[in-house]
Amino acid sequence: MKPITYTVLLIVGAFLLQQILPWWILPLYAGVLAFVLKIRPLAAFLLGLLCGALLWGGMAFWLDLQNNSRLSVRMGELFGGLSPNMMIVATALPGAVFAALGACTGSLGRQYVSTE
Amino acid sequence: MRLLKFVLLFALTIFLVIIANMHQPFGAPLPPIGHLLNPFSGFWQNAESDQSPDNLQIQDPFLQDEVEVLMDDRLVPHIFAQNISDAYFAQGYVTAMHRLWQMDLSVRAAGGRLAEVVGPRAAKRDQLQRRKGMLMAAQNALESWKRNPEEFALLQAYAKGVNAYINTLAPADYPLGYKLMNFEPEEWTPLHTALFFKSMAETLCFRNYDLRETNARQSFGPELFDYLYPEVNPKQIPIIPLETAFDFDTIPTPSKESALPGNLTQVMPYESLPMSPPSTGSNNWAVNASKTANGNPILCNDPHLNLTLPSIWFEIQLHTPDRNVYGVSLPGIPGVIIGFNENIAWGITNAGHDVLDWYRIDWTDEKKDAYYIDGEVYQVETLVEIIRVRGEESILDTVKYTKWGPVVYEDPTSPYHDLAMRWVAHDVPEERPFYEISTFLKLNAAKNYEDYSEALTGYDSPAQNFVFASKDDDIALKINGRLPIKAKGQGRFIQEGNRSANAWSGFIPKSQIPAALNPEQGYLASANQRSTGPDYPYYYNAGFDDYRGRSINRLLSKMNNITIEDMKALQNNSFSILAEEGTQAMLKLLDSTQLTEEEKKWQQELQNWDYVYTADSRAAVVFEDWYDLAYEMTFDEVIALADSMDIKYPESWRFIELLEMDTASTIFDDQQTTTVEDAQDIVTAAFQKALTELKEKLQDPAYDWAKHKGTHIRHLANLPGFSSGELDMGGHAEALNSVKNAHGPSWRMIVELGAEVKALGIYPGGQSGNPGSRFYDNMISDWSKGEYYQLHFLKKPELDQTLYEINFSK
Repeated sequence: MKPITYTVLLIVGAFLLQQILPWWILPLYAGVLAFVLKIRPLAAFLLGLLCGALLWGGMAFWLDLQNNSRLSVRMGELFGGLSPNMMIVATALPGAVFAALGACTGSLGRQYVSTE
Repeated sequence: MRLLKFVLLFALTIFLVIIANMHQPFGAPLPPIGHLLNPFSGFWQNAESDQSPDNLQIQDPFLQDEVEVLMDDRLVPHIFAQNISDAYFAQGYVTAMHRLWQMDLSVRAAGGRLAEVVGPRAAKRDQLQRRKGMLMAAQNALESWKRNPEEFALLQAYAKGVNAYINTLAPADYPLGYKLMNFEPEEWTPLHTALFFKSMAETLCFRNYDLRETNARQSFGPELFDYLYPEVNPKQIPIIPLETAFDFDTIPTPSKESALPGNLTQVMPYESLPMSPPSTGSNNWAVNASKTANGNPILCNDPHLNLTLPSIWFEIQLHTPDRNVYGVSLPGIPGVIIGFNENIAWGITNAGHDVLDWYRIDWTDEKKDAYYIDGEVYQVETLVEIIRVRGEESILDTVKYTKWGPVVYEDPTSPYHDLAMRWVAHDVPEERPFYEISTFLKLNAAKNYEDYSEALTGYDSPAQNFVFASKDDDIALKINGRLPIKAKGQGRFIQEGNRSANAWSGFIPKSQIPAALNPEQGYLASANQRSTGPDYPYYYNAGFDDYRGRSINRLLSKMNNITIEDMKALQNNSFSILAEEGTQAMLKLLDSTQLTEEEKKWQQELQNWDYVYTADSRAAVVFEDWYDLAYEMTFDEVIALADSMDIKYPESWRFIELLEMDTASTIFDDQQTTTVEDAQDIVTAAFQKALTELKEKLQDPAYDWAKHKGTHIRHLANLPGFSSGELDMGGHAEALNSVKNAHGPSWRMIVELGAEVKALGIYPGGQSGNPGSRFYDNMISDWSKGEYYQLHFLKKPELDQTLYEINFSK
């Protein structure tokens, strides 16, 4: 139950926040949310990976589709010969990593505070 | 323990966030990758949907009235405004919408402000731009434009339009170029427009060979110099027809004793400043009703420039109550630069007249803060240029200004070699009713020859061959600009700066510039060749084209009942007179007795060649290399010196002339060998060497001229992935279809001035500067095939092929 709540709130919330705030709001929000919902560290880390990948990768995928991969082909060349799909992966990866790190940090923070 | 875990992970997260926000982390050539990669504000936001956007409503209190803009199926904006100020505002806005980054970078490059965003690797280039006085030239132009309040107000209107667009942008909306290079758009001002104007001057009238010719003369002596570098090609067909009379009182020009610096005892240790390729030129022509099939005058133009993405040109239509004009604009300058309206059409090619001379400064002492002219002492004026460098301290460069111009070359080892640059583009124009911006403003609204002539009087540099045609069947051509009055021979070499007599005597009055109107021959054409025959009373020196002009004349003089299809064929004509003469001359000299069977096969191929550089020609490949090698072997004396000095190379036409008429000349002797070669030896040896060098490549039957030339359209910042692929097309620098490796017809236009003006056009690129847009490079393929689009020249704001509209209101 809680994992699902966390997932939904993280993806929807980060999606909305990133419309107006810089990208690092993602790890920040993932951490705050994990803190508030008391997600355990490992779960937070894994859910962060999932949500970050889905959010950034999904967004990239959708934009790429609308654009018929025109830009991703060129950006891939710039990045040393990556294909459009690899560019989507290259986008999903940092999203996943940062969300995971932020979520886990928030979770550990909650754990620390709870033992006080 | 739990605290420790938390703190460690927190620190790690913060650390990685900081890295992902760093510009060029640990020296890697990357912008902050967190900003670049995230799909909410990074590059993905530039992945435009292929579907057109909804109509836009823009409000701005600056506007006086409503403006309707239709974006057509090639993303060409058709602007319908009630006054020219609103029209220019809208032009600024829509140009910025599609080309903002290009405008920004072009102006930074011109004015020496690249290092500000790019870092130290651009610092030296910036320093040179400042030394050349680019910023000073732009400021001078701007000051003159301010004298005419209407003209200046229009520049401000354009700037306001650009800035209105910039103000709508959040970082997520920035053009991709800004995101990749990690900087932000800055406010556009009339000074930016002036800088862009001067950058065109730099491209078109900065070429100067004084250094190279001086070194050549010093090295070879006057006789050999005159033999190798004669000024006038006898086969030349000038732009202004020979029978044109020059019926005016010439301003007397005193003849000058040799202006060469007296104590010039050695060659100059400098390298020439970077210049645009010698092939930077263009074609244009106008044919009147007597020569066309349906009795409508036709005007054609194809300017030849570096082929880039985004393209240098931006198509546009401007419609107000007093003008309806269509053509190409330059992103950064208001108005239409090449185009047509409901009555007339005009086009431009570069006039190669030398308007940049160098003067040796005669310092009073080694402090180099004062110099002599005619025995009088003058103090240098210093300007401290501040060159900002991203990530480092600003560089301060003190530039010395003399009466001649800025001292660009300073030799720390000698007080005798410092050279000041006298460039017409630096000059503050004299007071007159209007200036360059108004030239185009008036051309855009011109109705007849008188309007065209008047419009041209406001224009100084870069001098262009302005061709003209009107519905009422006038055709005209003027070599228009601020052209110095020079003594015979003046301007080829570095001159002594301590004599005021060495200055240009003045400038040719606009009423006396070379011009033609309605000649007998029924057509006028220019392809950067010599402007006039020997009857023109003013001397000028320059680098002129020797082949395209002759091709146009050869063909147009015989053509009658000309149709649009004929004009398309002419612009796409890949025949080269140089190849014709060169091949014939060299085949005549080729010693078959020396050739192998394989080589004789190629000899046969060349005998059968029609001198047309089609994409699939293999004879063309062999000729190119054969010619280049024969040239190098002939002028080995010059090449031997090129390692130690900047030196001029003899012109192609002179080389061919020697092959045709002076085959026993000692110039053909290879200095490296003990035997004495003549032309036959050189030509034969070059042929064999060319075939040896090309052997491997030619083994592939698919290796042809298109591959050998390797034409592609290059990204402005040379980013991998953002240029075009290699294009399978023919053409040659010396052919009318002047396509080279990364340079060629940047716009092709054909205008038929019938009751309804019809026009065709195309350029190798797209209207959008966004690599994520389907309009980034959509026209390249058709351009490479020699095709054209019908231009939508609208009378009313109605068009079926409208993708979306932009409505401006106050």
